[in-house]
Amino acid sequence: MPPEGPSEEKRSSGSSITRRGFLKIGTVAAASAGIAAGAGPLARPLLVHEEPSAAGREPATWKVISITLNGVPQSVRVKANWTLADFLRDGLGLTGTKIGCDLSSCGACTVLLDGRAIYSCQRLAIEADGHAVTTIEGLGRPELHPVQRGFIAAGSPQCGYCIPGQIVTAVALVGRNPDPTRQEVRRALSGNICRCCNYPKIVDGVIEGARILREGL
Amino acid sequence: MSANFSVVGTRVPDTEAVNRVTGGTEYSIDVSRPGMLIGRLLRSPYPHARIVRIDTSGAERLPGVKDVVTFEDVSPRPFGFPYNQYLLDDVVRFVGEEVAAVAAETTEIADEALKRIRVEYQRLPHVVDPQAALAPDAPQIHLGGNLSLFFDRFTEERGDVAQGFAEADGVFENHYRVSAQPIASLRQFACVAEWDGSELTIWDSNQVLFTRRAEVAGFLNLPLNKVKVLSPYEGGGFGEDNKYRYVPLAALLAVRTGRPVKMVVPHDYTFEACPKKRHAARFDVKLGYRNDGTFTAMDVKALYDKGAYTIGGSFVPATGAEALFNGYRTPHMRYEVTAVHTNTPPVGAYRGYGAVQSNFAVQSAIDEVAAQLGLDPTEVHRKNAIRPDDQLFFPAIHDVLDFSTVGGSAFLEAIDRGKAAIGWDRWRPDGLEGEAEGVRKGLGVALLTFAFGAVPDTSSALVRINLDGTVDLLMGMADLGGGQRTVMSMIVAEELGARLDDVQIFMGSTEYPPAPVTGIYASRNTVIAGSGAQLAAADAKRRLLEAAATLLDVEPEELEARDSEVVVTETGERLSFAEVLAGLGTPIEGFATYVHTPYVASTGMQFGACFAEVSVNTWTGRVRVDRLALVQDYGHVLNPLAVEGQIVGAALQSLGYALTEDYVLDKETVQCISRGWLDYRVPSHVDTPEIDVVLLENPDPRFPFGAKGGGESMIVCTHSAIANAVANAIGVRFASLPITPQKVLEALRGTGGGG
Repeated sequence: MPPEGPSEEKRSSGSSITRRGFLKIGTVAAASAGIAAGAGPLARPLLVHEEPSAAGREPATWKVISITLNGVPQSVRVKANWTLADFLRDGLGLTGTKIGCDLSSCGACTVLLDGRAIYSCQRLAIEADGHAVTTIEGLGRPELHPVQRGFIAAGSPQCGYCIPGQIVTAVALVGRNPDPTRQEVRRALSGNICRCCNYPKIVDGVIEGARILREGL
Repeated sequence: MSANFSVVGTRVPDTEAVNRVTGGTEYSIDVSRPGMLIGRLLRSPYPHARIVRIDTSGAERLPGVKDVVTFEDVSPRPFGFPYNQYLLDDVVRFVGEEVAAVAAETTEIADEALKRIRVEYQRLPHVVDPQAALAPDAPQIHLGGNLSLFFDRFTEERGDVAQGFAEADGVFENHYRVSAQPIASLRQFACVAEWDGSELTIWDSNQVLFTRRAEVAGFLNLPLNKVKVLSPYEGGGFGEDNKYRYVPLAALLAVRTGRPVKMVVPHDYTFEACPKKRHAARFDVKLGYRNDGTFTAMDVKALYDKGAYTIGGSFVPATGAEALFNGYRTPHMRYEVTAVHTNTPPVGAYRGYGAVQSNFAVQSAIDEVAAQLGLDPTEVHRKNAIRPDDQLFFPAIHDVLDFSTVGGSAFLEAIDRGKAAIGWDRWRPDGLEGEAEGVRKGLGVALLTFAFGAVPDTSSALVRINLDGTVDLLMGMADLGGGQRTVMSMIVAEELGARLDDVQIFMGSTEYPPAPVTGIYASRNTVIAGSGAQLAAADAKRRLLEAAATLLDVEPEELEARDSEVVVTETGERLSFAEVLAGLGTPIEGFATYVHTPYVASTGMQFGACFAEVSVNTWTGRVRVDRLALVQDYGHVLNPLAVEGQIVGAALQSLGYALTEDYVLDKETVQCISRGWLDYRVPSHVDTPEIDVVLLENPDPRFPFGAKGGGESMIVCTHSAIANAVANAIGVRFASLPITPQKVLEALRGTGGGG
């Protein structure tokens, strides 16, 4: 039998300090009043739908910002510690912008900020105040954007998770370089990981999209 | 090949690509439900420990926390085979193993709650090295030891290797190693579970809808028909499914709290533990050869590292035998594998399933023998690869199969066509000069054999011709993005005689017929689900022609269907599907279940070869892949656009395994160090070489229109070809992967690195 080691009381940590944890302002209520010191999990009965407690729902700090979102100027309420990605997805339900890592290392969250491709997980929502944001949902309305058409024709998506980010980056590219070479496309999109590794077909999609943009369908 | 077909064989974009390019695809992370709680997992900081006590009271007191569960709250039944893993356990066996789950109003509260759970661990000795784990006095990870009962010692042989070595002019031996590889698909791992009092709905991006349903129902003691699993879009799909703890835990929290629960897995956990990784492995390869390059004996001893748990993938170590058998004619062969547990993150099925590891060892060894003999490696492969008149050998089912029936010419064709595509006439034994000073170039080749279809199963489909002549296709399967959605529609359109545009597939839910029951994996979707769809379409067509025959006053045999019309062959008189249905007055439904028998499951074989051209910068150590020629036998290519994506995608994943993907565990703490895309470097756009795809078609008549499964194959051999090309370029053989710049420089300076 292997020798038994000494018992150790260990405060297990489930997560490291996150950027958001650092910015957290009072999301956790100081007082625990109102929450019954109930029986442990073994005795917990099946609960019928419970009203969400005010303590949990109370947002930290809300701010009102002015942005132009997908062409529509508007005032919106955002949590101070939301990233731009959080705001788009959780605040507005625009889940086309994906989160792959939340660490600015994969590109899945790419959106356009004043026409420039940025990682939306890398900015706070409040930083968009006074700026224009374009997401995948805002491209090519009501018709498909030429880059979207190019991606369909070329078979660019496989699982599809990276595709909104790839497309948004490509739109930024063809906006300033209407006839890119394959090498230029690869360099411009090098910040967008595709785990399916469908890179050649993504480049095909951008090239075809650029062509449609120049020449029409 | 496709002269006789009107739909299959054409390049068809995904029939619902519009969703993928507009942000309209919903993955489980995108699902939100009213009143939803957020679930998080507490994970072990130790590689091996007993949980003496867990005190969750601090977490439960935190406002906004609705529930906390530990091993004391969960069903004691194990996950399936090999029955040594539980939903939560009182022993943790790897750093990052799940210890508790919480549900709270927000992510911040849930994460704070995790910090307030006090766990008293009693540390146990741990073992990380698989060789050490075999020792009789090694720490025992599971009851019954570090080997489980099944398939952990497995030998496959034919002939007598001792005799083969005796007949050889020379004997070559070397030791090879490959590391673990986390599956790490891009999407966030998440699920949503919702309990309405009598029925449980799970949104979970996965490949195995009905397996997931059975798992969750089993753990919660619910009848199967009260559990629904929805997985419209996978967001990956390289094998990362099976036995996730977080899905049944989310369901448990949802049932206990009466609120929907969204369990979101943190990004680093994807690399650390969840879902699983490719088995690390080591090989002792011994080849007996004649001076003309013919092999007389091939003997491989393998050790696969199973990590703390096997999450599916029990047969992975045995699959390594494919590198030898049904690849080469050598009469004397032996593959002996041992698979052992270690206190490292779990392993399982990952694209290429065990063949990836052994292919590297065997293809490297063959290449080394060729180099020693001063022979062109393609000639050595040619001499030894199985031939059209050979028989394939299946010890698992004690049977043989005439190779010519399933792609007899594949290897010789693959070698010839691949050589032409890569420009092999440039090959030299000592490599080539590069385009710049200090750069050396090389060419390399590796063959692949891979089985597809795997597990016996059944797959059903329902084909409904609506009153307006359009067609519904109902199949309970997920969309991995490999073209599954489209190729199923194409098969039905072809079989039924409908226009592809008239076929609409409904999928991604256990409300539809299982397609197939165990799920999509093992390159089996086209051949299994496709067969079910084809049979159902044939059933619907039979009824359609009968109805049309009555209306047209002919016999059904006199009719054919194409372009959504029924036509009298002789006269050309025709009715549209809509007209036939209007005459009939009621929709037509065809239904079928295809049975994937053990024999067929065991005898689907894929063949091919990869040719690689690399440049090695001897100053920086950087290896760049300039060109790949990927030759693969697909039987019958049903959709070239989708197939190309699979071949190239698999090859590039293999390129990452060869050069850039380095999975590192800290020696002291056994914690995963490569925990994100910056540390664990997968291929990016700028790593993409020039790629030629050569598709061979040697149909397998047992499968729809002769198609073979093949979504994995190129991941099996591309890394081996790259390693061989590097050896050709700089004369250094790397017997382990990845081939990093540091290793290259150390090898060139003679300070180690090689091996």
